[in-house]
Amino acid sequence: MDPLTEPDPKSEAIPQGRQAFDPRWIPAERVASRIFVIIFALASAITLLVLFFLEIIPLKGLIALSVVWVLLVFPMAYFGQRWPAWEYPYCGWRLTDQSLDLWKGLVKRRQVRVPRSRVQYTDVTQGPVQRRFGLGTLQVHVAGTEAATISVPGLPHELALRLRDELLDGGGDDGV
Amino acid sequence: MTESEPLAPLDPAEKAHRLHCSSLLFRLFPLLKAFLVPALLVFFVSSSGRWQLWLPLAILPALLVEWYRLRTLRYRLTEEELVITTGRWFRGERHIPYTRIQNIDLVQGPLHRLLDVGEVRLETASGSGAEATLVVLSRSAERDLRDAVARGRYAAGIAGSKQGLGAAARSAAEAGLDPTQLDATAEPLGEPMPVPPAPPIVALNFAELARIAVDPGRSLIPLGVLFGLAWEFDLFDRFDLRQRIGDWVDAGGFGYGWLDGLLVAVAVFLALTLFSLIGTTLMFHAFELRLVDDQFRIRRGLLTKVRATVPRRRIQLVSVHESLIHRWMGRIRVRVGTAGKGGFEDEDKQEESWLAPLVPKAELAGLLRKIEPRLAAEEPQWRAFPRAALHRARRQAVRIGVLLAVALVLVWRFTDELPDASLWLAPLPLIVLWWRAGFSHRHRAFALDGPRLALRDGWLTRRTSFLLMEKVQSVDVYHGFFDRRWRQASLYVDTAGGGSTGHDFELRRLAFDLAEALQTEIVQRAEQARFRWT
Repeated sequence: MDPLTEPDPKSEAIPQGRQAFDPRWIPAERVASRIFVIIFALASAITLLVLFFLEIIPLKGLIALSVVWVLLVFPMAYFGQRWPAWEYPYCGWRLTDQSLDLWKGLVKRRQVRVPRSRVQYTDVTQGPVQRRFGLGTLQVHVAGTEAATISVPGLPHELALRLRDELLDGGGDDGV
Repeated sequence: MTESEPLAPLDPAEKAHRLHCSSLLFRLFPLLKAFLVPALLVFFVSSSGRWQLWLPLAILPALLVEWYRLRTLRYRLTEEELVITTGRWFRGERHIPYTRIQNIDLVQGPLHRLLDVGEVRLETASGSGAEATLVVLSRSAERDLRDAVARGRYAAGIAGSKQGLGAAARSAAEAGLDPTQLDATAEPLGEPMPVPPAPPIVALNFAELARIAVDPGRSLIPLGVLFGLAWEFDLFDRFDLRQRIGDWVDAGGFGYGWLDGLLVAVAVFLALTLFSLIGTTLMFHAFELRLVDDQFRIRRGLLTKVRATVPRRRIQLVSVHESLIHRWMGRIRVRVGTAGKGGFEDEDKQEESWLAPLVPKAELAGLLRKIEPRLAAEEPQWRAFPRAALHRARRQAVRIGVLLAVALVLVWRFTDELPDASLWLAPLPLIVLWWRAGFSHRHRAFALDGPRLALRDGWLTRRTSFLLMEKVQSVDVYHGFFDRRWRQASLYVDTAGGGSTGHDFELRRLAFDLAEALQTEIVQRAEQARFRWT
């Protein structure tokens, strides 16, 4: 992140109310899942073939495992492409005077709320795929155990940075 | 803070210390136990397969690693922090400010005491166990460490840092400070964790230890261990146990008919209780809990003596456990979740979170008041869970019960393993589960009054937990597929001490609207009550 391009935290207000994730989150998730599936598929296929040619598994075993491979990889690829769009309506975030809230999950739907004074420190991370889509993940660290880190993905990168600064400003009192 | 060079101390008081030379032994002790003991057992017990005898050789690489670690580890006590440097090629340097050190725990086994050393655990508020464990320090080095920490904390003006101030006063005098600035209630010199003569809040005598031991939750543990050992060394086959039992039954047993079974059961129960009593005594012998200067001090143990310190304000939540058998005896167990000890699975460390392994129920209010007066303000305004939760639990009970019954019938029908009489057992799971659903629903309740959140649940073992709003870290509401069909959701309140009390603050199967309203309410109250570690 070039500090020159980093926005002034006070320049724009944080949107109020529940906000959906950035729509670019869907294609970003799809690309990430595509990469994952390709790597997984290749790695497992190569392993299978190597095991076969080293005569560790017989031909029958190879055929059976190939069926398993197909049954694993194709659903993974399919759901990897579909899931983000299904999940998108149930995702969101909100920053109020009192708390940072996050909605996430399709089957098990979560809504987490972190009181703002509990925020210990925050990070903004950006993976290579996210960078291509201009997205960032805001990570909020609290002193909890089960939910010690709350990640808000699907934010435009500069908004994630602004949120980070806003959270740090708000929590002037030491969380510790 | 860090201006001094790591290996060039400014004055002799900051010289780099090493661990005690017996560290090697204690670092390798777990490995020795893991390899040497089985090897010896194999040598003496097993008739075949002596390859295990070579196992001790596996220690060699570990020995080298540990030797390297011991040779390269240094720690320095600067004015404000403890600096631990490790490694020669890959260097690590860890700075732990004294103000961040919440606990100094000393663990001493018999071997430790023989050599006058101890394992020192330094805990900070971070959520993952001990920040640093020094294995092992001589007792004098441990005293110096406590002095330095107490002095550093005192200099930083932290309340509740009187621990070990007696020694700190002496050190301060040596350092040219005015000792009268320090607290007048200085404790005797030389004691690493001085305990004044105030009577303990909780002390366990033998009768209480026995009451802990008879709890089935404890006494069934040795059964598993025994079976494991017997399996490991083939005792069943070796002594032809099955055959012998068969012969014994054929010969008419003790000769009292069905009473024989009862006698055997009683004998097994007594044996298990005896084992459990031994375990309990090893763990909780001479247990004493005292409150000194805002810190709970615990001493316990027969062979391995443990002294632990729990600063009062660091307690995040309190759990009260009542097993069925203890309820009959009017006893409860009190456990606390503290920051820095969350999320550990180590059985030994879990035992440390028992603030009171057993106390009469009447003393609960007093104990809670000592932990935090607001926890014992008044009887909680218990609110029952919605009836829909009961309906759902009952429906689940029916499903599981029917499934088990069908499974039993199928096994009876298609195998010859089960006698016809066993069919009478088929409805039993259904009845028990149905009854259990209603029983635990009646007991389940929560209360949110003022700054305190309380939750109680459980069936045979009842658990009640208390929590103050200022300790809330985040609040989670979630619902799965089936939850949504019932318009229900669960609420989870996370704290810095979660998971360490064996009772999570999870309010399961609330009506969805209620869960959301509670979440808002808790977040608001939590935000108003600022969080403090110390």
